[in-house]
Amino acid sequence: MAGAYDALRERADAAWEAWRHPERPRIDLAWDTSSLAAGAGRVREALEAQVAERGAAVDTGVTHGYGLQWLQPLATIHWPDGTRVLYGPVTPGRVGLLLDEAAGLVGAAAELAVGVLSGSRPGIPAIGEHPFLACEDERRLLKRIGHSDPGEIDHYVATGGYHALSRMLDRHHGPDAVRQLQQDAQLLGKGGAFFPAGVKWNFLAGAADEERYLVCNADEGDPGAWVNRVLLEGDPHVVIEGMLIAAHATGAIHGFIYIRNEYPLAIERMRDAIAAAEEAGALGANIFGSDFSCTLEVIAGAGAYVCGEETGLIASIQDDRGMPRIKPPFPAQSGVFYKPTNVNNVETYASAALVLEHGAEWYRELGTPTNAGTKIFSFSGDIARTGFMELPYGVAMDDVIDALGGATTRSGAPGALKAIQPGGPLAGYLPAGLSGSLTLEREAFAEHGALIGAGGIVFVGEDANSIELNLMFAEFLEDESCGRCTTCHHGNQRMTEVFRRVLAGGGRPEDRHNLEMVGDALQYSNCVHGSASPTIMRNTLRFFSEEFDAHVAAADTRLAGRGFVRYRVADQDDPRLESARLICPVDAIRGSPRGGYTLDETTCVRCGACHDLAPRGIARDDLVALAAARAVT
Amino acid sequence: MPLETEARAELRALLDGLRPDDGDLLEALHRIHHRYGHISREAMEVVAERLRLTPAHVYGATTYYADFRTTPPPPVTVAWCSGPACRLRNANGIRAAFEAVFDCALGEDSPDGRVAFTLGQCNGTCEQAPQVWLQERVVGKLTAARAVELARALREGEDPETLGWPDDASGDGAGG
Repeated sequence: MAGAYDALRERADAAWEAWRHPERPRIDLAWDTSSLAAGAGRVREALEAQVAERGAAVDTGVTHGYGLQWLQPLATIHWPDGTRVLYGPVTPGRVGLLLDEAAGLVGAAAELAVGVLSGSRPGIPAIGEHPFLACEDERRLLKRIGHSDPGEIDHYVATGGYHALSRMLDRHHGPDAVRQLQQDAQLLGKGGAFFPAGVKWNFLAGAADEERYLVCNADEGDPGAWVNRVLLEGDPHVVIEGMLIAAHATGAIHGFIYIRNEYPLAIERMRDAIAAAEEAGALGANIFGSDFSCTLEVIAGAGAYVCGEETGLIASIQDDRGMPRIKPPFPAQSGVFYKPTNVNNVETYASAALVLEHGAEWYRELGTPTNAGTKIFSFSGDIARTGFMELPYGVAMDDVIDALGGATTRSGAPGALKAIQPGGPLAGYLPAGLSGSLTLEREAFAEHGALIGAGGIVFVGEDANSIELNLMFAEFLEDESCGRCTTCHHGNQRMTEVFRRVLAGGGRPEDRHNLEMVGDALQYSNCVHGSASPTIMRNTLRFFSEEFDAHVAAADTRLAGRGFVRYRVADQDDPRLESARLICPVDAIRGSPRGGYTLDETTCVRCGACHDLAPRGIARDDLVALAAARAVT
Repeated sequence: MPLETEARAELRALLDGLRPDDGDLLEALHRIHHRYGHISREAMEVVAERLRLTPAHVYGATTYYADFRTTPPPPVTVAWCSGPACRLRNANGIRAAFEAVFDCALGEDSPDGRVAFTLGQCNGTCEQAPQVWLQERVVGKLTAARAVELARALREGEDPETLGWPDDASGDGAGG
């Protein structure tokens, strides 16, 4: 049995060695959702054109971005001696610099150098010294990210992949031992619920029916979270291996990987990885020649946030509308096609593979006593550096903010933070002032009535409007409610109406009470979509009470429901007023350079295009702030 | 039995290999949506027949998911990212700009039938905020002014492939 794996490993080692020590320099472009958003497609075209034009002795390849997303498009130069250096942002106009550097002109691309990934290069620090990575310890889940081609199963195998699976099937680990090991490691679910994975697997292992299923929840719908995307796109085989280990430990025969439709590249990479694993004998019938068989398939979602709830996900897989249902029965009793089913998040399965390979003690080395191990986080919003990293649980929030280059204003200049918004629309909205006592673990957030969630954290700058953000989340929750529970679909509708009216300038003194009542009703919804939907609103009323009250106090019927944002002509001498007039999509600005300009407030749609072009000539007023200032004087 | 038509035969061929009670409904809907850009009443009937579901069941699922249209799409689609990082960078203003130029609300098609303006969900490319997807390609680092320019160019019939590419020199995105 070991022979099948050994043969695969031998082939993989040869391919890996060839990739690690290419015969001539190679430029590996980051090829992931983030790099494509930054224009990697055009970079590749420019690179290939220049290579052809110069007849350059340089090859091109692919890897996944390293996490420093604000520097995308990223690229790595890979020299024959194994030295690898990360560069970014590599725009189409800059590929020539990389080609010069690759061809031996040392320092040609120095201004784009981010860090050395392997070996050494004069004047360029190791990637680990980059301030963005200051909070990271060992990269475990991200070990291959940026260091391999995610489309090559050989790279996965040569770096230790499928070894744990093979060893397990060699009868070193029976199903009971595998489940116990996950419990010993204290592996908790990483989708936000923190349920012990080994305990969950015990439920399925003890199920009455022999036909059992696994589901991998890759419906990562929290706005501001892209933790699962990184694993699916950057190391798809680790998800497959984790699911196969879970299947062996629970007796499951088939698994579904349910990926949201917003991640087309993740869907493609996972489907390709499944085909490659089947061809290599690592997936399908009689895996590595053993008597263990399991198949996997990818299901693409179609845009429904609530399918991230496990019973909604199950309904969606089995041809129904993706509506959550009442528990019990739990999935381990009745899941996909009413058969016993285990649902885990992408990162949980991937972590399980690491635990089996390296042991429970190794897993617990990092993290805290109550939150063992590491977690991938994605950080965005009003910070200087957007990206993802893998952190041990328990890292201090202030250190993370430093690594992210500090807070920025709306326009990107250095600023101060107002709030921290973790875990998507159900998890919380905490004042930045708490950051000194906040650590990245669930207890620290729970203490303040918030949840840490699945790993997405959004930073909110001081010039943001908390009530606008509340309306945004309330609208999202209303839109995405499945409609089963009146408390949820009607409660979120009501919450949306109240926030919309308050922001339109029609707040009433009883609105705080209205919202609190809605929150009380919402918590009696069946699933977490309804029951957790008041979290952000409650955090806001508690921690941003003054900001809410100021909006209610500034209510004014003369605003006629047009809200608290007003654009007006502030300086007739700004020569850019003519371009402001021309850009206005509703012709609300009239006049001429000679006769002066007026802005018709009733026509204005408050897009801000005029202010973008003539920031001096057109002022943007916040009427809440103005009313508050008047009240003080 | 409904009348057999060429369109039905083509739909049936598209669903080749899909079976009842096998979790194939989403796959069936994706295949049809990918080919035709929408899921027609006739397509729903063919899917129902193939998967032994009722047309009402297929209609319920089709309209439950945000990504499926039931009417033919305009040639151009602009999806507006509604995520938090974008909102912190005037995404609401950008939305208002597109709505004003396209002369339709979010979720509608422009009256001239040229553009669909749809709600997009965060895909975690927040370093490009605020952004829209033009024909599924991210156009990032927008301002309201750039949004107006982009929308006007689209309304005037310019080829979306030529619009909204990042600026080479700075490495920054540019709309319009």
